[in-house]
Amino acid sequence: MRKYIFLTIALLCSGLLRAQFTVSYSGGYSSYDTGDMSSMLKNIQRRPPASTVGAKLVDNFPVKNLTHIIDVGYLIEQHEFGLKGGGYYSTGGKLSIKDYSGEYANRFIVNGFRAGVYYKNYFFTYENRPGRELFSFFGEVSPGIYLTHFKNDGVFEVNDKELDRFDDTYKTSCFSLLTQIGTKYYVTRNINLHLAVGYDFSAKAQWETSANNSASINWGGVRFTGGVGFSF
Amino acid sequence: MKIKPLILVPILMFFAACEYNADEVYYLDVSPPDEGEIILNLAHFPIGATIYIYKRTKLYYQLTLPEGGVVKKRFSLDGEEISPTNDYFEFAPTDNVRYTKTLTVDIEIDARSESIAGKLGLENNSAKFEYRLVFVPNAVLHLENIAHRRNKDGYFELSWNKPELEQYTVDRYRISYYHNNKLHVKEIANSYETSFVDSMAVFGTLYYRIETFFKEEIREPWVDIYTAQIEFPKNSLLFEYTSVNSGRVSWPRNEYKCRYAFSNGYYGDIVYEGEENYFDIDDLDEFTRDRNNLFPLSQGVMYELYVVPFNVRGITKDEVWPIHYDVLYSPSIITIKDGYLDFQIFTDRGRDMLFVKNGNNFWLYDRNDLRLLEQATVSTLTDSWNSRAMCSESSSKIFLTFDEWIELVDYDFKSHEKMQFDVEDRLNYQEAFLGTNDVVYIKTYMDLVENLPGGIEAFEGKLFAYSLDTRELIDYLILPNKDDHVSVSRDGKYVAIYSSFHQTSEVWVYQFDEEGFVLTYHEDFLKIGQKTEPIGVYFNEKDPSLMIVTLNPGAGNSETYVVDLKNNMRSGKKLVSFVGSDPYTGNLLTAYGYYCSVYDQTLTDLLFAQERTYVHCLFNNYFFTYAHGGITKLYYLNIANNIQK
Repeated sequence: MRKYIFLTIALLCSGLLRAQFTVSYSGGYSSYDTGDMSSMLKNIQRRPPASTVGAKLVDNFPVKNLTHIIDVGYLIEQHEFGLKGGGYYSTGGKLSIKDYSGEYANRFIVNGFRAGVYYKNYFFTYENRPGRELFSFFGEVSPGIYLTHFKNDGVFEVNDKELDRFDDTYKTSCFSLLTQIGTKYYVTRNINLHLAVGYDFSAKAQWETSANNSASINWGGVRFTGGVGFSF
Repeated sequence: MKIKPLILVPILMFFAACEYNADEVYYLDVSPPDEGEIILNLAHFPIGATIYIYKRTKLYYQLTLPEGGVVKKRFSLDGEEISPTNDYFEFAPTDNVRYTKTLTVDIEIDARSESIAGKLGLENNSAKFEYRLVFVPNAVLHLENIAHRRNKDGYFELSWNKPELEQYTVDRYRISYYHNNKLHVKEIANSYETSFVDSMAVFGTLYYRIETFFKEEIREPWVDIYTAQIEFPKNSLLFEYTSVNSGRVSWPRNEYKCRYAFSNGYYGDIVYEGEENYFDIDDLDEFTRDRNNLFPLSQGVMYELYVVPFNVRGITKDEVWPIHYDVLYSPSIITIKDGYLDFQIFTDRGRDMLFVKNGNNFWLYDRNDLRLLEQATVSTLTDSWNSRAMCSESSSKIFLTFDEWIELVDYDFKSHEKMQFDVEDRLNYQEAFLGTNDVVYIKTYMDLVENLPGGIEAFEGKLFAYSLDTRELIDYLILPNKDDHVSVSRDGKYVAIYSSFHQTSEVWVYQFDEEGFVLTYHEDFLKIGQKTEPIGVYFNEKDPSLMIVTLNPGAGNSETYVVDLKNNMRSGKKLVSFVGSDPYTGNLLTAYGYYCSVYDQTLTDLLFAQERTYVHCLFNNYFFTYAHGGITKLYYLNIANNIQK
């Protein structure tokens, strides 16, 4: 019930303040650093039992540059602030070897999900004659945290005898600050297309299980996104 | 409220769809390695076998390995690592008690498999072999109870015990031996056959080398040497008369079935070949021609008796058959090594006892079969070469005369005494005699009693007669002549005093009884020319009234005759020399050169005659003679069957 009351009040306030709720989706290019994870996997490869059985790197933490971001905000005048969800990053690496006698597999999957808030300032807006906003430029600052989920599973079987099996997970988080600028084209009064470019500064997400088996991933990197937004 | 799942689910699906989900697998396409077999051949024993170690033993091994690198090759004994030498282990019992250890051979070979399991060594070829070693010290590693015997067919049979030691499994026996200088080898493949008949083994030194081979390769063959000595004792060749001029040479029958051949010495011919252990000599004169005495037949000549296998025919001296070398004598009743020759034979006729004395050794025999009844040494007895021995049958004592004294020894040889007579002065005598009437006759040395004109010296001796019982003097005779000799009959009732002079010889015979000496017979013997010819006067040992007179005894012209003192009858003279008379038969033993003759007691009938026979005395038809050729022997020969009836 309270949720409905809150929603009603928010809509009334928005109307009074000529404010708008915005929801937008952005997709685009992003970069992040998986070098430490890759080094860790190579270290594991160099050590027994992987080195003994000759396990190969079948995946070594490729960087998927595609990112998805959803912003839910509140626009007042040239100020917009709200919640920012995304991007979501997932990468992995694997040591593997299998033959008739057995199998060795050691797979890592690292998922990172950014959650934060944002503030956009539309410092320039071009309106056409009827006064309809046609496009605007904005700067954005988005502090957030990366929720990082490490998964490590594997198996070591020889001659139908399971020598080892593991399925570990580890969750950690780290702070990040996304700064970017962009432009927004208003297709209609309520629908816009937007582009942004920036850089996400992030601390490393560290997973330490032992001195010899530690890894980290740095979700920070360039962000170049574009998307569609809806305001109401 | 419905909006929440509708929003969240697509979002989550969106996120989930974006999660990294690559799951590639690197598949290594390799084939399993060939299954290599590790083979250990430890002296052909099966895996896990128990191996018995009886002595220092080499256990050779061959290890067959599959291709690949040797990861592990470990040899251990009870867990303690050992290092074999080259291709064998060497073990030996080190204690005095039986003990057990485990020999382990642990092998692992890298199969060089590229698979995961191979890289982990899980596909290595490995094997572990274990053996139980039982150490048995002090085992007898030879055939036991090797022996020989005569089998039912009369042949030499060698036998032994089958080895019963663990893992000494007999494979075969090999027996090597020699006969007639030829090597014979007999292989016995049946391990249960533990005997061997050697029909050629009959005599001599038999040498067998028995090799026992075992099925276990680690077992060295046993080599056993067995020797057997089959022989006859020395003096096994015996001669006996079968008639006056025939005899028989015999020897012990050999234990094993054989044939014999007899050779007349090394240079002589084989004169007999056959299966019997004797051969007869039909013509002794011919057989002994150009030889030495017939009795005791040979004097040091070694005869050869070949004892050969039963199937051998035509024995020649060129072959190497066993030979028994021996002298050919009559049986020896006494053999004395390192002794001296001083046999005295005397008899107690009433008790059938025949005494033999040599030095201070005495033997007592049954006079009928010469069975030894007793033997003794009287160490306290005076040592003398010149004693004479007689029996005091009534007192059961042996009467021994020595220079200057007499000793008496009990029949049981346990005590003896020096005899003393009832005389004031020391009795100085030359000869002593004892009759079965226990009268002791003492003949003194001749004393010079007078120097007659012309430088002639007159001597006088005495013959005393003492009682052995009382030791008192009974009577005496004057012996007027220097050369007087005395002879006393066995019963002590006749005493003959005889002497030879330049022209005549005389004999006086006295009869002795409680009254003393009574002259009963006198005879003069005319001499031919001036030559002194001695005489010998004797009494028959069985019939003392028969006096035997030999003129020129031992000479080539000896003549002997017998005087019957009771009837004053004389026999005819025989051209022989008297040697002795048999106390049991009265027969007279005479000699003439190399001839030996036995006459009846009247010297009338010739009962036995043989050339080249020398006899010292005759007792109960036993010839006795003795010889000293390094070993002193007293030979005897029974001629009872050869006396002409």
